[in-house]
Amino acid sequence: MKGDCIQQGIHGPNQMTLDEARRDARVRVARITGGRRLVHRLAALGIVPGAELSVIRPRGPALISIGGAHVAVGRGEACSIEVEEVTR
Amino acid sequence: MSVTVAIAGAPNSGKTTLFNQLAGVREHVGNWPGQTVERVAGRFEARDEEFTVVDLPGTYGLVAVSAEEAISTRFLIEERPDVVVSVCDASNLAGSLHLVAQIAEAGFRQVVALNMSDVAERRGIDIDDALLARELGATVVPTVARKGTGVDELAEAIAAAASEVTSPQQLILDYGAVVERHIGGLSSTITECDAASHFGPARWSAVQMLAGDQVLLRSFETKPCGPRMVAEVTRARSEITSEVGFDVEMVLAERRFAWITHLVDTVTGSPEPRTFLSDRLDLILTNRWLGLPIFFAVMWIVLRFTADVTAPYLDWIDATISGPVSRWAVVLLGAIGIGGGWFESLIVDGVLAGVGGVLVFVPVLFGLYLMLAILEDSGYMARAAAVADRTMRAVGIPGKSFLPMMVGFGCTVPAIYATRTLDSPRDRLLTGLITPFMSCGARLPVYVLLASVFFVGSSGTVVFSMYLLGISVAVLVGFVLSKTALKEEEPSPFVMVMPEFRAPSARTIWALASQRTGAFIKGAGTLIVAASIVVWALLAIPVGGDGTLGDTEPENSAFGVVAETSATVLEPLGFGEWEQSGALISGFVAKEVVVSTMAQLYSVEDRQVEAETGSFLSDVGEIATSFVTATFDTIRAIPSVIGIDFLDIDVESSTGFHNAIRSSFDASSGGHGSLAALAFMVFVLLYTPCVASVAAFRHEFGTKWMTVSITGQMVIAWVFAFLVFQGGLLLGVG
Repeated sequence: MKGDCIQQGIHGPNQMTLDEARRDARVRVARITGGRRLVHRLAALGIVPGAELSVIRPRGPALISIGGAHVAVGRGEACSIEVEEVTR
Repeated sequence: MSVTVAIAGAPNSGKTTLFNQLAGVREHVGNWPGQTVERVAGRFEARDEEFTVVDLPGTYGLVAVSAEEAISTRFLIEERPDVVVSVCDASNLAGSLHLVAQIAEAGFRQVVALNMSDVAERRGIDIDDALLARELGATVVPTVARKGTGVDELAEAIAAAASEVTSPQQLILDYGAVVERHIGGLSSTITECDAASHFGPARWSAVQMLAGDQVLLRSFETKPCGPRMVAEVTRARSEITSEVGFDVEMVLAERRFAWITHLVDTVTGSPEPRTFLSDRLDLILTNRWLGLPIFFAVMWIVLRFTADVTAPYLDWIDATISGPVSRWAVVLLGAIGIGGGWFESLIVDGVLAGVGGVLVFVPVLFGLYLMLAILEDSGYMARAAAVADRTMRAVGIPGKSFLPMMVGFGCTVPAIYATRTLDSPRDRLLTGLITPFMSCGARLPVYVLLASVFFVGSSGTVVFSMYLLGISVAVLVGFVLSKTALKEEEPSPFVMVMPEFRAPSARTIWALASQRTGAFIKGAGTLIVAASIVVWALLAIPVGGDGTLGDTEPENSAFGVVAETSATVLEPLGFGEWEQSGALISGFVAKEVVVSTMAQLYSVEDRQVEAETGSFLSDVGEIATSFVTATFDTIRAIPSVIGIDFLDIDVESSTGFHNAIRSSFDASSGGHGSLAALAFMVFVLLYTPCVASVAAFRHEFGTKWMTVSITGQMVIAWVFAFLVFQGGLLLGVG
């Protein structure tokens, strides 16, 4: 099932927004679209392009684990985070 | 001269607990400039030297995204503290090092407190402190703030750092060729502009401004070369973005995190990612369907605890002040020969009643603060906010407002203080402005009394609809404010760290609760006592008739005149009799007295303090026994918190009183008594809850917003009551 973000960027074959990720998937952040405050807030938590994180739950609200910490991310915010799945 | 130490750290890193452990006593030293965030400082001694510690608001980095974070950045830039203690969550080192790295880049003498090192250890994260210290160029001290472990070592490390003579080592990160070129260019401009390096090393200033920091940029703007600086920063930012293809802040953050990831790997030897119990717990607590019921259950317990468990103490304080203490005052004044007159009345009905009005809030507030501190310290609050956020945000109200709004059903005063749990001053203010519309417990007797007179048979529905109207108005006002006066260009993003679950520490909770309760007594107490004296004076000053000062009929007092005058304004609402407006005026002091004032003004009963009932000793005995009873009642009330029992309200319900009310409302409304009573209830619901809530509001948000709040409440109450009464007349209801 796909999320219902208003799509902003052009996705590569392996790319999706955070809310479209699989539960328990390991993903790498590809790009962050969105406002300055969001970019800063995410950056301060280590959610920057290149960072890897685990998706505990992709939406409602999204719950991710990064560096051992849990972060809840709202629907709109999850739509601004473009990720690609990391194969293990 | 004492050495200044700033404590910085992310929210929930245990920063405040560590501060308390280090400084012993927290000292409220006013608010941060232009903010409603309290500034707290403390003192400690080490190596025979005195240190002043400042607790900075929680921040994730030095480039501020909220007004609160800007406070920390501004303090560090403008006051350049001698030592900065950065508090890290050792169980989430990567998340904490962002701030640490920036402080090191800014060239501060830094002591890193590796807090919650016990949690990290339990999770099998083994941090090489010595290696970390070397890489950061800072002292590293493992601590467990909640147990007080490592606090002495931290104090010693601070003293050692402060006594160093060499200038601190500045951390230099490689930001890549493109960015480095611009850093170089900006640095030379900065060196020209700020020759004395007031704002710290030029390289750091360049990085900070490239990252889009407004605080530092504004500091430079005050200098002669300011405009040139601003122009250069703007140009460099856009050039980097076009060359690299990302925002500058992304490029900087990416490089910094690459460094952090490498550092964490080096000092911890990357532990296996594990699924913790808290994964599952978080999935449940923030689940779309389960989260809300759990949240409501928790709120229910908080409210019941605040209201029921503290009620016996409230009654005890009330009975002690209006009983023995008032009697002693009367006896004492009589003994020194100034009893019986207006002065006695001033002391008993003005000052003591006012002091009682302050003290009755103490048990409620303390109970609430205890519960809130437990919720915060355990980590549940963040989950609750995550659950409520989605629904609330749809109407422009932040998720965390839910808690103060719920508390508002109990009492507006603690609800105003509960806004402190919100993240930004803007969110706090918005919530503070809407919580008074939540119908507090003291308004209930008014609804019950009037409903039992005018709406026999459907009184439950009427009372319940008052609660619904209160919520609707709160949401409506919140919505309008978020679209107008408190509009945000970019709403604060919903990205929230779920802190590690932990058993709340008794010491932290107790300290928080007593400190906040003390702040209420100091901050709001004076205004409440003053208001009580003003009302007393109004009632005491004779304007007509043959009364004397302190002994006059209400209708002949200044109070009567004021009530008469304001009655004119209330005429279109259907309750323009002076007794009705008088009840509303005294209701401004406290909603608890609306019913008793009505009773008094309709001359149903009169309370008189007797000078000679009970000796001093029997009074003391009575106070002590009733305190014990209150304690037992409290203990007994704890199990009932979980159960549901029905509201137990006693209202003076003599038929004479009922008849007086009925004929008064019929007279004031031209025969539409029920409609007028409904409008009266709506007015009581929506106008200023009490002077204590006003005092609390002023304490939290300042005089300007207090005026806005009161004016808004009066206008809204009038308009809604008008709509109910005149609308009802038009539709032919009642």
